[in-house]
Amino acid sequence: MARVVLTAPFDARFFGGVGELEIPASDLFALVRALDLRAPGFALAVEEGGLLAVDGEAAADWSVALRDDAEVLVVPRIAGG
Amino acid sequence: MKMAVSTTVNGDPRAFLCEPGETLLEALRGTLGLTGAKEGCGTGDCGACTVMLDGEMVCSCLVLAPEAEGRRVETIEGVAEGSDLHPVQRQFLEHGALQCGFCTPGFIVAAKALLERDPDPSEHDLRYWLAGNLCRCTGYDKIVRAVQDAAAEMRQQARGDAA
Amino acid sequence: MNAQSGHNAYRVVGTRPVRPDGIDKVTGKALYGPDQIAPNMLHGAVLRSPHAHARIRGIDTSRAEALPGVKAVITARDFPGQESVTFKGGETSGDRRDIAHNCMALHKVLYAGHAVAAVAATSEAIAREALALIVVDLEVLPHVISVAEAIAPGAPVLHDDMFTEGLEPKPAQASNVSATFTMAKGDAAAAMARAAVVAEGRYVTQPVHQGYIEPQACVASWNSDGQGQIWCSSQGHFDVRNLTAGILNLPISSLRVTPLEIGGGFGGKTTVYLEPVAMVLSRKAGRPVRLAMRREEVFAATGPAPGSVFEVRIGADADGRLVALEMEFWNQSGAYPGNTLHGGCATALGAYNIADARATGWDVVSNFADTHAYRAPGAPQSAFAVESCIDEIALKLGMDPLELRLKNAVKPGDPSPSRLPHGAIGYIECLEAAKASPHWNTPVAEGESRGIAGAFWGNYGGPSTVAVSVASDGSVAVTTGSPDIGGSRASMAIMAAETLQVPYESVRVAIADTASLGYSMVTGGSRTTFATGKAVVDACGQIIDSLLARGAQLLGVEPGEVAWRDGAVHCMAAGREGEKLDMAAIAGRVHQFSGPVSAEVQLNAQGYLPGFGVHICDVAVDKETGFTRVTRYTAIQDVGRAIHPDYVEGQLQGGAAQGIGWALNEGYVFDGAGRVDNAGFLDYRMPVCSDLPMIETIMVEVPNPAHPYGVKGVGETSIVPPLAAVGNAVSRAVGKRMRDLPMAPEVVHRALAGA
Repeated sequence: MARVVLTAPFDARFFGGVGELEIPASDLFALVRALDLRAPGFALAVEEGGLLAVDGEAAADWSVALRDDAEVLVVPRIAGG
Repeated sequence: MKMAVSTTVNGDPRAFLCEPGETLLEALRGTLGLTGAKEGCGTGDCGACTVMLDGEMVCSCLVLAPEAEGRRVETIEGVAEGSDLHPVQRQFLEHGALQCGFCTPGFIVAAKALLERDPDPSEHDLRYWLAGNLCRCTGYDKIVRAVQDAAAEMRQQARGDAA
Repeated sequence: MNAQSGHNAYRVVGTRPVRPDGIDKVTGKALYGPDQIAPNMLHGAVLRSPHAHARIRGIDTSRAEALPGVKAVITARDFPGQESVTFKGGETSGDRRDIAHNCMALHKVLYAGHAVAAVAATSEAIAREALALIVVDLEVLPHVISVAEAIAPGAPVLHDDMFTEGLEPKPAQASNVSATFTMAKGDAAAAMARAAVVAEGRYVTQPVHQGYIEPQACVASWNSDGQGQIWCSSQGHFDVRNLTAGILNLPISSLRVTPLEIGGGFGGKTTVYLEPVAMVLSRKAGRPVRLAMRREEVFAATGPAPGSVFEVRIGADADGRLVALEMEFWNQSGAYPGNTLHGGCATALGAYNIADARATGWDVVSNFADTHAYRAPGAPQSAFAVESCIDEIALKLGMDPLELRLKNAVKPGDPSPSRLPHGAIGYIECLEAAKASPHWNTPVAEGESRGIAGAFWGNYGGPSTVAVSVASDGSVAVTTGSPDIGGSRASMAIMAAETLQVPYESVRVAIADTASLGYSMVTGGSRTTFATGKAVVDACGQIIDSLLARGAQLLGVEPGEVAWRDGAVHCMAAGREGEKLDMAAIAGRVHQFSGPVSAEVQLNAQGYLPGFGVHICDVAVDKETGFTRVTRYTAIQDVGRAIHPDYVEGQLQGGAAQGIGWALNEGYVFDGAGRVDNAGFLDYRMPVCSDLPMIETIMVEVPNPAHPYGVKGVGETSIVPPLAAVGNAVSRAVGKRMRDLPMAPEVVHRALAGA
């Protein structure tokens, strides 16, 4: 069961500001699919402007297997020039 | 109606046709194929198009091409002697005095002109001489140091030649 | 300050060789965007709206088309229709419809300078003559420029389908507020109420332009079989390809973009303006078309950084510990939604441990050019407000402003704005370096005053593709997809030479066109030396593995009996220790092995770390005229590891100079009709050589463990502190807090008169 920590703007926009969710998922793709079922549009939003971090490290590859007690943070991706 | 212009560019005689309203910069970059001088503004504010006309530094975007008739034009392409770089060019490379390099031809032509009339300029004089050349990348620090070192190198060389 | 553990272990990293593209650039040979020509090329020109806001009722191009020499005239009707879909592609993501309509207005013009039609002709003079023959029937609408105008009740709305994103529930009415974003932790209001001292104020900045000296230019050729080519300079030709193909509904691989040398970008060349237009002209004319902007078009029609209004309060306890931050800000974006709210919030919360903080930003569109990224987008404005308040707190508490920052600065392990713990950051080290610097330890000169400010910028990593190949003589070719704006070819060659243990000169670096290598994200977000450099090092590692395996076979020993040293395979088998094979001896034998020695690496680089900097600025303010001269300036920054120190120092100096310009001189001025009134270098006054002193640099090296040589992004951080460093110096000179930029002489003069 991964613990998902949601931050602005994703939390308010898709999950009513719950802050955290427990989601069973084998990897980040599965996790995002599961979250998108609860809140349609979330997957697209996170693909376009989100960054996922697993246990305090930004995730480069969503296909890496998630540990059972992983903490996944959903934050906006920053832009640069 | 095109005008015929005969001029000398970097020591070579060149003849070309141009519109009466064409600028020297347009003729250099277009007809003559010398794209080393750059157009940053077209209004004489950035110095990227700096060339020498009869030994005087000019913004070639403010000179009409027909004005080059019978005169001597020197551009960035003529600064090095064959494959031997001028001390200003070499010091620009040694100091990393360029980032994007777009303003560099104008700076090199202007700095060479300064050192030909003043072999030992103060930092103050150097900065005011180069104030007509805009660089957005470097903050000018390394450019100033490069020109100072080129000046020192040229003075040394002149002493050596005199001895 | 440069000494850190292990630095001496490097042979090439940290040295200052001449850049590989150097001679081309000091002799005028290098080809930039405006230098490209193609056989049988036509010259194009773009007709731009003189009005800031108008509805297009009709465009009559018939007289222009009839002009001899004109080969094509186009309007937005010649572009495919667009739906509002977000592009994906790292930092170039944006709304496809907005980018298309910014290239060519469809129903409405949203700023003076907005393209409405374009012509291709046999000469530029004829193309410009033809522009005058195009009749555009415009219904002029009221316009808005300032944030106050744009958010006023009853203000003319730019986009009638724009509803503020981030508000729940979704607003019922369209407005000019495109989005809102909040970053918060704890209870800022309650903590503020307990603070012993509070500094607060309203800080205002104007839109400023990146000011690259090379105007945008391109040549495009689009054939009837659907294949096209573009030659242009940009910060990312793969994204030029993706954006242009998206706008034209082309398969991405049908478009090949060849990068030319780029004459400065600073974030402004991470999007497209001309390329889709030149493509459509080329298709219609059946010939290649060149388009180049004039300087006034660059100012009026390419994206400056947004202006901003910040309302900020920062509270501290009596010991100088920062306890609360409350910030609300409005970004004065241009014609389409901006993208700097997150950067503004993160910078406000990024540098100091403030337990209770809340930052809310509002993105507001208005009738000037679509704003775009400019070096650490959103951060300089935010740091100006925050670092000015911190200076005020230091004054109120009678504390040294540097000590106050040291007391509150973030350390590794402290929470970052994203809530992830900070990694191996070096803000404390920067502040300590500032404290030990010659500048800080020199008393302020008579008649002058000194300011100091810190900074945070997040940086980025992201996708890059790199190929490394060994030629049959053992020389090495490195190919990347990352345009080189400031000397990155030199740093790639250094990292490859270091890894392979070969001389710098035996490695040559080229930047491939989009058909010759896989995708790389833009050179932006301070990512290239970090992310693309990491790929170069990884690829060189694969080359070494391949040469070791082949070398062992050639030597007839076990794979474990060879070692890589000094660019050669050394035999370690007992009794054969002196034997070795150099790269040529192995790489030349392509016919006896599975193929040439080459490696391609693709990665999505993570582990990037934020940049921290501290700038110290001395100014002399002329009390009679209000003119401010910067007399001494030092830029200190944690750079992770300086691969080529000249070009790292150059990034620090260049960012400082741009920031000084932003603080003292630069800013868009609009006339009553909403036109940019200073759209040229004479009136938009960027710093020139005689305006500045030498810019001293101190490179602090706290290596990034996620990069093989410890690299951190360096390009953007340096523009974040100067606004406040200069502002704090001028405020101390004037005896009054300076909260409006630019601090032009008349502004300072007024402050002096009123003080």
